[in-house]
Amino acid sequence: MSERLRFKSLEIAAFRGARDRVSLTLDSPLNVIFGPNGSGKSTILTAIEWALYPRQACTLSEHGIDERREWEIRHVHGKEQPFVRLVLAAGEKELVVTRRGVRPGTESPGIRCGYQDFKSLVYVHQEIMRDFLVGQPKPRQEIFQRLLGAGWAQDLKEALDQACRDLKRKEADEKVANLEGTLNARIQEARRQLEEAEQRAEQQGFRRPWERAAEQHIERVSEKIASLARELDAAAPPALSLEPMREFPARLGRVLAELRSRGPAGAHQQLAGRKLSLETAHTACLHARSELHRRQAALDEARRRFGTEETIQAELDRIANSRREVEAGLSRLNRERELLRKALEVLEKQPRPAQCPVCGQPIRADDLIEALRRKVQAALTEEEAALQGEQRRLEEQERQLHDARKKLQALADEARRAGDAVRVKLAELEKVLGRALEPVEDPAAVAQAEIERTGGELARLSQVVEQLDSRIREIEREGRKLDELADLIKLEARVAKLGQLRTNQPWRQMLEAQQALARREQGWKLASEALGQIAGAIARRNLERAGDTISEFYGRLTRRSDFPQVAINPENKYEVAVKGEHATEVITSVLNLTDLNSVAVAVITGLAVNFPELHDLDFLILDDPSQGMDPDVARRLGELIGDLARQRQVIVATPDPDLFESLQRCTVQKRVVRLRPRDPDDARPCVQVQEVN
Amino acid sequence: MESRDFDPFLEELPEQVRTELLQWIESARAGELASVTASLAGLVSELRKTFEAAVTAVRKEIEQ
Repeated sequence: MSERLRFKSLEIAAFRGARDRVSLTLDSPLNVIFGPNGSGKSTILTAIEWALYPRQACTLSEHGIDERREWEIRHVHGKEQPFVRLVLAAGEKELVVTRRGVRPGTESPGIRCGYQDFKSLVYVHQEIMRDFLVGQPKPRQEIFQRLLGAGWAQDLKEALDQACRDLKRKEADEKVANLEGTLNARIQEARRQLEEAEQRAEQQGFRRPWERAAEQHIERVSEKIASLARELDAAAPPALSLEPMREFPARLGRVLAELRSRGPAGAHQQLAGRKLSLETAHTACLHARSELHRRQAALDEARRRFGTEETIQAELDRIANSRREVEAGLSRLNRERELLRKALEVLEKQPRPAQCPVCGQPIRADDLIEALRRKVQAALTEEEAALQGEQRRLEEQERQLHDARKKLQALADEARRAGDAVRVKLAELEKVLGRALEPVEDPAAVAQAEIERTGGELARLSQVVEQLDSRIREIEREGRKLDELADLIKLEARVAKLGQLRTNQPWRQMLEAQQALARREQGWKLASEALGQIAGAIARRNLERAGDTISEFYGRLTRRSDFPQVAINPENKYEVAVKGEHATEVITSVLNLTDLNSVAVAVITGLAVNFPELHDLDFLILDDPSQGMDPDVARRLGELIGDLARQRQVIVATPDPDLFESLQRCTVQKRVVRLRPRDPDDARPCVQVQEVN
Repeated sequence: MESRDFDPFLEELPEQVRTELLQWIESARAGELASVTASLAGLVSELRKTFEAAVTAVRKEIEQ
């Protein structure tokens, strides 16, 4: 925005002390907010700062104001989100800034005024004013230079200083130095290992150059291998060579393993395998045969106990005949019993004489019949019981014979299976022996003989294999010497490579990158120094321009004739002094609190009216500017602010009735806002506008 | 102050630094410090990245 912006209106809610919505129109050249301490003046002023710079206004490292260390943006007696709507105007154009929530967007409203400039040149906080009076030299210098229009140079200088810190040039130098140390240590260690390897090689009879020694040794080893291959009638293995170095031991191992498998060791191994197979089959055969004998013995024992199948069948036949006879007897008995029943029925139907016709004795016929019936019945029952007993005995004998037959059959089956197993094992044994056995030959005996013959052959072959192994071990020992030579050659190459590392491209690139960092740092430091000088020059020149105004304002406020002028020394970090006809004194040594505050106000207002071009904001916010001033001085300050408002819009907040009274008398167009005092009995106090004029 | 008023403070600077600084001064005076800061951060990042990559390559060479 090219035109300078003036203040127009402000609307706040749930922000700091403002619980309910407060709307203020502050569009006059002079805008006065009057109210006692605690009524909400600072709430209104800081809402403007928060709307324009929401992040910096809440960050201690940015604002540097101690009283905002534990700042709470939200109104603490409610749950609503803070809200601020600020309207600035440049002629007919309006700039509306709206912020909502404790973390509103931080996008810039697009005005040319950095936060540090705003804090020094637009919204003059009491702590900034105190820094003029009793602050340390360095912050005082920074504030003065900013007030004097060198803020941009200071900010650019700080950006360059920060970039220098971010370059971490010292850390880079340390890294390079560490790598130098690491490289030297690696070279030293590799050289030590190389010396040791060279000593070992010389002890083994090798002489430099090592590659030539290795090649000669390979030739010797290859000759030995070829000689061995000829003896074993094996194909000559491929020729060995030193390259690739890393694969040499593995290749030698493969060659030797192949030779081992082709020579007597191979035959030895095959024979040992055959012997093992024979022994296994022989053992299995003997075991099967033993099992067959055991089963046959069990069958013989059973036959001895139960007889043969034929005798069992004859006995069963005999029992069957006996059972038929018993069944015939039982049938006969039943028939006799039926005859007796019928005879008794006939007898009962016959007339029975009451007395014997012979002797005249009385006859009891029923008793006689009953006695006869019982006698016959008893005879029949006894015979029936005898027959049934015989029948049970025969059944038991028959069951036992059936059991014996089953047992005999089971044993016979087992014996048959054992026989089959023996035949299978014998067939296997024949197969292992590799020939068809004569029917009369005992396969197990043949196998035993074969096993013994194989053992003899194995013993002879073992001796041959031992001799062969001895020669192969010797070649392997020579191969290990070659391994060591190969390691030595590799070490030699590593030492050479490490020695050349500093001339390689990566190392050169690292040093170039390190130098680039150093060059940048040096350039930016020079630029930073130049900016410091530029800031000082700007400030000094502008101070010359504004010096008279500052002294004039100071004089209007204090009316001191002993020290009527203000002298600011840029060469001594902008130390502020007052100057009289006879003396120049540092302000803190001669001025009272009222006059000290007057100097501060004079400096700020004097610079504000002299350098309006430093930023886009055409208003000055003064927060309690008469703090610590006597009533007379406060009244004169009111007049001064009234004059100031003719050049720049002023928003002044004060609890001071003397300053307020003076401001009210000013003839410049103004708007006066009175705030209601905070109610001490209200548990949820808030900012309230009492009156607007 | 005009830009030419800064010349006495810049004449000792190397040519490249002076050229860059003059550009940054123009930006800062126009209220565009943020763009300068971003440009510086980009340069720093690039230089550091190049250096760290070179250090990694050297370290790899040493340890091989």
